[in-house]
Amino acid sequence: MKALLRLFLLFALPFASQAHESTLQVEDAWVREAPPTARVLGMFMQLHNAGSEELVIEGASSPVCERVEIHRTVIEEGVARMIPQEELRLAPGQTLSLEPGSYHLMLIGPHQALRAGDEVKLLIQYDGNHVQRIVAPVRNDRGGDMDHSHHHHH
Amino acid sequence: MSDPNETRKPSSDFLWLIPGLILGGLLWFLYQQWQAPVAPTNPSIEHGTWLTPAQIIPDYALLDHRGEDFTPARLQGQWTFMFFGFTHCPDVCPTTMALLDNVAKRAEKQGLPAPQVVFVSVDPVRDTVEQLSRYVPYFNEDFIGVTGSMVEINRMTRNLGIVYAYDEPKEPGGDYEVDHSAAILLFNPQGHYTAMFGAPHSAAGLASDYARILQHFETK
Repeated sequence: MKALLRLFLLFALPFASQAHESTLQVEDAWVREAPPTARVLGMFMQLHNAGSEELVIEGASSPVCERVEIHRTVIEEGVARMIPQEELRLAPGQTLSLEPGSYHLMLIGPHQALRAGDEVKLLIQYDGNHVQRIVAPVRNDRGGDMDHSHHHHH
Repeated sequence: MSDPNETRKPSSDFLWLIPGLILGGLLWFLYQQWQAPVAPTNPSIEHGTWLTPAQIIPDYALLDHRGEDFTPARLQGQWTFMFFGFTHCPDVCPTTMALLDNVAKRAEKQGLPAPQVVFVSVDPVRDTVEQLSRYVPYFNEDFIGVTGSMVEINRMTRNLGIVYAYDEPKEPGGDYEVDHSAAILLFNPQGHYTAMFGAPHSAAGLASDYARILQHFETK
């Protein structure tokens, strides 16, 4: 009986935790290369709640910088304003786009200059004690088509 | 000796003035009509607001990112896009600077003279000449960074309708955010403020308006 329970736990537990871990899906994550002296870098990605319950992203951290904050850029009456976000709430099935001019993560106090091609590890904390680990490239968005209007079709 | 008709002479002279004035008026009117197409009609831009007349901005004395004087004279002789921000800005400023680099490259690709691009810091306490020298050329070697005393920055921005405000740092002496106007302003080769492009910006839109403006004043 004990052996059977052990067998059950062996299969069921990893599956249970796996099921929850996978509710947050992160895609197209990237860090924008900034001038070498930059004290802050913007980080962008697509966050998707694949679960059936609301998902709350509470924060993030990275070994490359002092701290990470969630921010949102808003433009009101022509004035750009940065609004720190305590958390991000994703309804079941919702995809939230973190992109220039909107929601983004702010990597504050990088320990060294990050160049295009470097990789940044990021830990996203959500739903209490869950952590999603991602690796994102640093990219240089100069010279490309900076017309953001077509980004909204995601 | 005195001819009674003499007394009527001045008034008949005066009568001759009337057709003269009418003819003169007509000629003046025709001249104006002929001048009209040459007089500055506004270029039709799609992503911004054209200001008529262009505004003359009172004097200011600032520094560029090489430590050289930056005064209104630096705006003369070419078209200039001007943007206001701060180097600790993680989103809007790098996005806009990269976008202006893109606009300059699009212009060059079309065989147009590249506009001068000026980034004015509204956070001069942190944005020293040295800080700007390591920030602005990253986006484009030809871009000019501008900073200076708070008084001079204010003198320049208040006449341009540019506003900004500082958030409280989380801890004393810590980093702080700056809310600021996100508009891109255009100055004509006389150095006068002539168009305002509000956010959100589009590189393609700005580049096509820039091409329209240059074309308009070239064919004038």
